[in-house]
This record gives sequence, C-alpha cells and structure tokens, in this order.
Amino acid sequence: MPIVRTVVRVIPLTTFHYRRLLPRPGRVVVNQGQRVKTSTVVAETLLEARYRVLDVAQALGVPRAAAEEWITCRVGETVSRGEALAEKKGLLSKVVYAPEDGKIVAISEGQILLQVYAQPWELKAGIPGVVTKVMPEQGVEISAAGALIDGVWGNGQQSYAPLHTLGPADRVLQVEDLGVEMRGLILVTGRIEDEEVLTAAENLPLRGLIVGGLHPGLLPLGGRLSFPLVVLDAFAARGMNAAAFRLLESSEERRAAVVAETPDPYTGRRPVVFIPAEEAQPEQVAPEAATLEPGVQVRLIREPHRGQTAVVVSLPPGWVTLPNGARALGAKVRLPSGERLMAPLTNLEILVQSS
Amino acid sequence: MTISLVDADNLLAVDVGNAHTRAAWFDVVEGRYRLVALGIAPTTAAAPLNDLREGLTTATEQLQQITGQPLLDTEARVLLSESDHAAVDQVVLTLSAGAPLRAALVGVLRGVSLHSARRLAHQIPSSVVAQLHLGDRMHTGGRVQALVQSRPDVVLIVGGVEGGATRAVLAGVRAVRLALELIPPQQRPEVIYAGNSRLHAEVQRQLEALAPLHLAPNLRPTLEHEQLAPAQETLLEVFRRVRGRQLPGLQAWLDDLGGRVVFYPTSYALARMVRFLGRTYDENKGVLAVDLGAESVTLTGAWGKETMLRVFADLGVGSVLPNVLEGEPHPVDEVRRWVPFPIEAEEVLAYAYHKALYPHSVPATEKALALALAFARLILRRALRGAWKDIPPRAREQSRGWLPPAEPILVSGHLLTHSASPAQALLTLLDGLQPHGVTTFVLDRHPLFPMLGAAAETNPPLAVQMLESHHFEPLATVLTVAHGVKRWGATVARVRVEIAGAERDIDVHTGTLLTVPLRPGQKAKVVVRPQRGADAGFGPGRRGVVMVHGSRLGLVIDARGRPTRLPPQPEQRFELQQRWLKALR
Repeated sequence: MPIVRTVVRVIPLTTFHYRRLLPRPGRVVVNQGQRVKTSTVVAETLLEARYRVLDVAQALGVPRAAAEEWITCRVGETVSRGEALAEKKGLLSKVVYAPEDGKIVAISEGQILLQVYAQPWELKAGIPGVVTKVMPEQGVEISAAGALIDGVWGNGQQSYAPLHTLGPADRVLQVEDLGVEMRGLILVTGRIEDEEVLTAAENLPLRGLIVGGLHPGLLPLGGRLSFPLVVLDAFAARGMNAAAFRLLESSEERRAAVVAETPDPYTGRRPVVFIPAEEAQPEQVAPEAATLEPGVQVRLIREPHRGQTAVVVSLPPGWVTLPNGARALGAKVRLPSGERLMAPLTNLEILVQSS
Repeated sequence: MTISLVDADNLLAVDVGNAHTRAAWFDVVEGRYRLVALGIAPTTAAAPLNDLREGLTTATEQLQQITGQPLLDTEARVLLSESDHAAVDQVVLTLSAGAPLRAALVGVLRGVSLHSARRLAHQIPSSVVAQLHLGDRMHTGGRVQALVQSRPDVVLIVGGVEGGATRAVLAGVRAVRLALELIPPQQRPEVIYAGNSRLHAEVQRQLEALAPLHLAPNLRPTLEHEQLAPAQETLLEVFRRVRGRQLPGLQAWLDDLGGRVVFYPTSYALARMVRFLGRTYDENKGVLAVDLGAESVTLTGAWGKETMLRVFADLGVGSVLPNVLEGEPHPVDEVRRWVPFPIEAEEVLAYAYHKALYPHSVPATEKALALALAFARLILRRALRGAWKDIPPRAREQSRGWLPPAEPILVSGHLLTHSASPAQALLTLLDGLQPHGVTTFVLDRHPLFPMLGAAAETNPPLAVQMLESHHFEPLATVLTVAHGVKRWGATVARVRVEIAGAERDIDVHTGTLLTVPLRPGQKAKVVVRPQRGADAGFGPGRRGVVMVHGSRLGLVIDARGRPTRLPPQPEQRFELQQRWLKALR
C-alpha cells in the first residue's frame, strides 16, 4: 500500500479549501456561495454555560412523579428573575420563582434546569473567500486563491493584517527591533529566544507574529498572547526555512490571514498563513495529503538533519538500522548536497512547495 | 505441554497502535503452533486517510505475500473459514490507537466508591474529565455544568453499598439525567451504572431512554470489599462501542467479521497474558509487564491470583511527553541528570515539545536517544509511583518499598525494543523501575503478548505454545544487591557463579554494575552471600542460591544501591554513567 501522509505546504499561488469547524455543535450562519471576510462570523455555538437546578418536587412538597403538574413554564422559554415557574395552589399556596434571568433547558423528575448564562462563541472565517460547503451544525469550507504556508504550532488566535518582514531568515528578534511603526502589523522574523521580546510585542501591540523558531521555554507565554503566534519550523534556536521566508518577504505589506490553530494529528488541523491573491484564480488546489514515494520532496523533522529538505530515493521494505543503532521503517533520501542517508519514515514530512 | 492439534484453528491477530498496525499469522506447523508471518504498516486512523482499514489491509496483505495463503477477498475483507477452507479460522484485535476515553465519574464518597471508579477507569486508556461526589461542594447545576462541559465518552455512576445509601446515589443519577438532556443525542456518552443494585430499576427508568445504559454489579458491595472484575467486562464493552464510533473504519471492519473477532484494548489483553503467566510462574514472585508507549504507559502484574492493571494515558514518549515536565520539583534537571553527557535545559524542553508535535518520530542520533531514554526513566518512575496503591497488598508488603518481586518482567514499547540497544534498554529499566532481588527482563519486540492474551480466550494452546517459542528475547537476568552503604567501592556481597562445571567467584562492590556472560541456552548456578545489611532478595545478610538461564546480556549484578544515586558533580556522573553502560555492552 502506498504511504499517504499529510503534507506541509509552502505554495505561492494555489486554491485553498479551508475547513472551519466549531468545537461543539452549533449553528452555521452563512450560506453556500456567500463571500466572506476574515472577520465574518460563519458559525456560532454556546460555551461555558452555567446552570441552576430548581427542585420543584422538594420545594412544593409533592412527589417527583407528580411535580410536573404544578410546573407552569416550558422547555425553551426565556424567563426573568422573580417569574413564577411552578405553583401549588391551595390554602397554603407555594410558588417556585426564577432566581435569575435565564432559559429553561430541561424539566425532568420534578426538577427545572435553568440556563442562567451561556457564553456565545463565534467562529470567524479566518480567511477571505467564498463558502463552498456548509456542514450543518459543524462548520463550513471556505475557498480562496492565494499563497499558503503551513506552520507547526499556533497559539489559537487569528488575525488579518499587513505583513512586515525583519530578515534575514535566521535573525534573532531583539526588543530594540520592535518600533511603534510595527503596531498593527503581522511581523515575520527568524526566531525569538527572549521573553522580553514577546512582552514588548504584546505591548505594542502587533497583530501577529510569524517565526521560524521559538525558544521552547517561551511556549507558555506564547500561548497567552492576545495576537496570533505561528511557529513555522521548530521549538529551537533555528531560523525560518528558506522557502517560507522568501515567500513571506516577497509579500511585504500585503494583507495576510494568520490562523494560529493548535495542531491536532487526528484531524490534520494545523496553523496556516494565507495571503489572498489579488486577481489570479489558479486551478491547482492545495493538496492536504500525498503519497510518500521515490522522487517526492520531504523535510526532515528530527536531528541530525532537522529542517533540511531532501528527495526520497527509495523505500526499502522492512526495518532499517540507523547510525545510532535504532531500528525503524525507513526511506533512503538525498540531501541537496548529494549526500544519501537512511531516515525513519516517521521523521519525514512531505513538502509541497513551488516557486 | 502436549495438546492435541488435530482440529487446531489458525489465527490472524492484529494490533492497531497509534503509530503502527501489526498483523501476525499463527498456524500449526509440524504439530505445534508457530508464528508464521508478521506484517506491519502505518496506522491510518488519523488524517489524512481517516480509515483504519487501510493500515489493517496493508499489514494483512504482507502476511498473504509471505505465506502465499489467501487471507483477504477481492474487497480486502478477511476471508473467514466458513467461506473458504483455506482461510482464517479465528481473528483477534488488540487496539491502543485513539485518544484516551474521556471518563466522568459520579459517586458518593471520594475515598470509597469514587476511588474504585477511578481504579476501574484506569484499566483502559482513559482520562478522568469530571469527578462528582458528596464532598465536591457543587450544587446540582454546577454538577450538570461539569458533566456537559467535560464532554465525556463514558459516565460511570457508582456509590451506595449493597442495601445501603440510595438518596445520594439518586442525586447523582438525576444530575446525569439533566446533563444528558442537554447533550445532543448523537454525542451522548455511554453510561455505566455500577452502584447499589437496589437502584437498577430506577436508574433504568431515568436514563435508559436518554443514553446507552449498561448495568454492572456494584463496584463496592461493602465498604471494605471492592470488586472491579464484573464491571470491567462492561467497561470493555463500552470501550469497544466508543472506539467503533470514534475510529473511522473500525466498526465497518468489525461488521465484516460478523462478530467473529475477539477485541480487547491492548493494555487489557496484555494484562490477560500476565494474569495467565502469574498462575504459571512462582506466585511468591509474580510477573510484571511494562509497556512504554508513545501515548500511554501500561503497568500490569500478577502475583498468584492477585492482579494489577494500570494504564497511564497522561504518560508516554509521544505527544504527552511534556507532561513529564510538570508536577516534579525540578523535572528538567532530573532529565538532565540521566543523560550521560552535558546537555542544556533548553535542549530538554525543545526535545519534549518537538516530540509532542511529532509524536511518532524516532530518535535518530545518539544525543536524541539518550534524551529519550532519560525521559523514559522518569516516566517509569512516575508510573510505578502512581500504580503503587494498585499493587496487591501482599506483593507491596513483600517489596518493602521497592518494586515488588517479579520474574519475569516483560517489556514492550518501540523506544525500548527498537530504538535503544539492549544495554541502553536494560539500564533504563533498572534506573526507572529499580528492581530488587533476582529478576529476568524479557523483550517483546513484535509485540506478541497482547495478541496472545486476546487469543487465549478462544485458543489457549496457541498462547501456551508460543510462550515456549523463541520470539521473546530474554534480555538479562539481574541480581540486585540492595544496601545502605554510602562508601563507593565497599564489598557488599560475594557471588559464586557456576557454568558448566566452571566456577567463578566475584566480589561485588557498591556503585558497580557488572555482567557475567551467559548465552541463551546456557544455565548457571549462582550462590550469593550478601554482607551484613545487604540484601539480594533473600533478606538482609541472607545467603541465596538461584539457577539462571542465559540471555542477551547474561547475568547482570547491580550493586548501585536502591534507590540508585548519581553523583552531584557532572563530570563524575558522566564518567560513572558511561562506565555502567560499558559494563553492559
């Protein structure tokens, strides 16, 4: 069987089909064919709801099985604080009032479940484009033409703003590199190794940060930033891969959508940087997966050649032994220098990049 | 063991892990069961293929190619024997792929029923996402909120001894009922009720129409007595149902087999095998298995009829690796201390987070491998500490705070069986588990033990005969001399080793690790005389005699102390670590 893998893409012009999904079922609020901006809300749901349970049977002193007879509200009804929800008339009348404003979400076993607060959660388009598929209750697929770069890690934020590059690709960003003129821009740079740089970026504030490498000790702070942070290559003292840097540098001042999604190997979800094309409408669609086979371009993701690109030469059957003695299913690859080496299959990413 | 195999069935066993899908073909050759062929393919449950059957088919096709026997039909379905005489008689599936099951526990007392529920949940790869009980200081609305927001795959309701409390249990049931009303029907969790059986009818009345409900015998029939086994079967059924929904392609593959497949979580199948071995081997010593996986760690043991199974879904050498860096006073420094050369804290962090991004990548340099094994030591220590209370009391008492006596200790997990050298693997296991007395480590490279554990249900002779095969690699027999001597180089024991009539006397010094070559097939009589205060597993200062069988590394004598302490000075530490590793090569 051919080995099919999710790909890493650095493509200057492609048609990108982007799935935007809610974290839990909700409502899609756009239609197929509708044009959307990055900030357009495409779907919404409720998160972090808070509930109050009103025990009617206990309050009215009636059997649970009979309690519903005295309940005067209905599921789905919006109620105000102080509103009567259940009442037992008689000589000694008893009433159950709504303790807060809310919505009746369930009535069961003589109990009323009142949803007193629910945080609405909106899913924004993330990239400008056209809704090409609606998945009811789940989300949408948005399609657009432009440049596409996949990242390895994101902090969950997103934005859409002009790009500004501070090269070279292996530059270590310093606090003094950040100026007020960068406020509102998405900054592209080699790597960040200092906590103060992230703090300064937050204070400006930037609208986004795209780096090749990030010091692993900065992950917690990076995760708390109010703007999107995307790491394209590694948690290490490494700059940005040349192809991505060239593409971003050549897009200076163009507006880019940075969707810094947290990677998920099960769904294949990963952070992306997307630069919408102004006019061109390519027919080529950005692939999500490809077959690992001889001739395919790959990126090595572990030492000793981490970050380097290579071409698959062959896929020997069975286990291979690596120079450190470890055994793995492997592929023979050729580095740009011409050197050939055996690499574990699991240490290769298929790279889709075109110039 | 002689067993009639006239009508013996062949068996296709498949194991679906997070990274690899393995297939094994067992058949009778010359009157005995043999492992005829093995196949391996990348697991395809996740993106981009999102269909577990692709990997299963590839691995099974490899068996076809090797054996020449048709195992799949033209639509890649397993050819069962009823449709073809030359096809598959039995199929077993063990599965560890997939995210941990999200378990919400609803009980009465935190230290009683909820404790038992936690122990049950930890027998499969699961993460406890909510715990509700009398002392949780939540009102019913808060409990409903906790249940809804934790998005459980399974809700386990427990509490009330037989004939005991009902009101508190029913309060929990009502909270579950309200929560179920709020969860969309297609996303509702499976519900297991394993509390006071007097409430079965009431629980059914309240919950059956809302979610798949499974009634199981009470986990705590009395305050003093815990019975997990009957509810375990129910939990396994729930595991199968949830995985069937979660893992694309799995249910279709099972449906094609029309129920003729034995299907267990890999961890549970491994525990079945260990339980079987526990009855076979010396019940005073017990049998232990350690599976150090990418996404979980399993520790399972059997001491006679008493058993233990604990799955740590938050520990592993893959995406959960950064968890090791939490909860200890100085975890990064602790990892660095187990790397036998200078390494920066940043490199430790970078390794852990990079591994989390690429959980199935393998260490391809000496440095990366040393780092991975340093992490493995901490993971093993943490797992053993976490499983301590699950170990049967009798075995715990025997252990006097160390790893309970166990022989053999079965080892699986790609890092230890494929990435590390035999010497590196053994040193990692010794440092991580800190065994005491005499034990033998056995590597399960393929890994076959879970497959055999699952097969034992329908085909016990196969499991028995495969145990006698050469597919399990005895790594070393280790004689540990524990002592409280702080001075390095002091003699703590004298050991006489007799191999084929030739005797060799060895003085064992503190801080040393030494090997006596003993090839597979050879035997040795070992007489150990510990010094006063030292203990080689026979009691302090007590002499002992053991027969030792040959293995890859032979007899290893570990006198580094328990716990093994490392010198604080880096240079001394590196020198010593290199010396220990060299001693095992």
